[in-house]
Amino acid sequence: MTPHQYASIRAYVGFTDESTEVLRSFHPLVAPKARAIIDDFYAAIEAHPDARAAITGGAAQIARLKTTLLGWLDSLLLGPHDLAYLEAHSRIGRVHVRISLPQEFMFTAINRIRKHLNDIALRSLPLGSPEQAATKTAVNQVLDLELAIMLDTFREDLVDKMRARERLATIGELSATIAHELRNPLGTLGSSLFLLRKRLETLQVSDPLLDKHHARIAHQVQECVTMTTNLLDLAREKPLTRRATFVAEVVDETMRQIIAPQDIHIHLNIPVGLQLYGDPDQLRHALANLIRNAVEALPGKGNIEVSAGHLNESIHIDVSDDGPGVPPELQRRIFDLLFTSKASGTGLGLALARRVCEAHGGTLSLEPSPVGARFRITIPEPAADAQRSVV
Amino acid sequence: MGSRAPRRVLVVEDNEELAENITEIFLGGGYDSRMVHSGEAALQCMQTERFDTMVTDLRLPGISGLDLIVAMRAKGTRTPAIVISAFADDATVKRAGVVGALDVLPKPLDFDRLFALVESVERVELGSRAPGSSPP
Repeated sequence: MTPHQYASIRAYVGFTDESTEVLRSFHPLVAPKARAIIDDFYAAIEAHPDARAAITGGAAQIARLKTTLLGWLDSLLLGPHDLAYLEAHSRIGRVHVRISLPQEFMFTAINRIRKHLNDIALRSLPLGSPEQAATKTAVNQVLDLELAIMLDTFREDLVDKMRARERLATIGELSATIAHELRNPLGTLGSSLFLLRKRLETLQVSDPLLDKHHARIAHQVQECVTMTTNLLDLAREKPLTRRATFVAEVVDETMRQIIAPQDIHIHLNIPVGLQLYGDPDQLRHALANLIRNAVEALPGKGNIEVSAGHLNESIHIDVSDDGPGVPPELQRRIFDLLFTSKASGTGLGLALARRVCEAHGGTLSLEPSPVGARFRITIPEPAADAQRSVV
Repeated sequence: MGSRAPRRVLVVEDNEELAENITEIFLGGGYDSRMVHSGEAALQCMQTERFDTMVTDLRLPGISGLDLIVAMRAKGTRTPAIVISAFADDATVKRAGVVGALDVLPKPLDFDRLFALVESVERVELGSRAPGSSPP
């Protein structure tokens, strides 16, 4: 919210510096009851499953939040209700946005606080006095102001998301065009490499340096091809061609695309005969992205395990490594489009892999793991999937 | 029943360097190969020369690779056609099937796959009728 908007809202609800003075003198009456108000406030949240769902940190987090709320209540009454106040309270609003708190809870929460404060004003101030009337008015005004600030953070978030989406759409179109145009030069490079290799074979030339650089160019060409494929797939949301497929087959085929340093050991642990119902091409693509990420996460050596099995009514495929793992602060963002933590990453791989899994009605998630990282693909089994589509 | 003259492949690709490379790869694989850079040139070429297989790009400067197949069939040329494309969406792949293309291969080309495909044409033809016999 801009300072101008804030001033305008203040004027609209009729909040003045006088209101701040009234609230300040009300504060000593509220302070002794603050703890009880906050406890009641959180009891209401804990009693409601959807509201409780927004709080993921359990009792420890609630204890922290209660302390924060006490500070909030102090600041609400003491002010000063200036631009620093606006900024501090907008920050609280942004936390609500971040934890995806449904907006309706904000209204009910503010109303609960409103009721408590009005009750205190009713009981602690001389009945019918101008002081009581002024306090009740100021309480309602400051809470209306608070709601406006909170709602504005949700609006800001929506505007940001909309802009990001527009930007992505433009980037998407542009990059699909570029990716398309790159295919011809890459095709020429690839075919020239093919011809060079044939020629070297014919001439029976065997030279480590030639081989090394031939392989290096071939590898980089392949990287570019993968990148363009990712971009184009992303741009066009390819429909699925599902069929019953052996998981081991998908994994084996994927492994053919993977180039890993000698000291990185990839262990496959796929039950014989395990089948899934999905688009093998697209799943291979998703899986290859996960395995490549694991290879890149390892410092040139280490272990990767690809395992699979039944899980609830799904088939899961896990890719785990014993590398450094994903830092907690990045975990929420790694699946975001164009987000990358790698120097040469494009931020396409995981976003695309997740999209493939979701198109199957499944998921791609980062699972808790004692060491390294563990990514899990789940694909619903046909029976469960069929049931879902009937409903 | 002629002796085994090299099979002839017509390469239709507007990127000249790529066309040259593909042609060279076919020559290296024991095929006789010729290249042109447009669908129109391909049609003209097929009026005077006979090919066993055609490999055509999808996007060409004049008529597209698929239109080329349609035009060619209209003129009674039954040469099997393989479409290569930098990026074929599913609608294109479907349409390629409808106009009678053998397959659509993505660029960059997997030459082993391309050779396998060209050879499969050869096997089918040898199996179904004597080489060089006229189309029914």
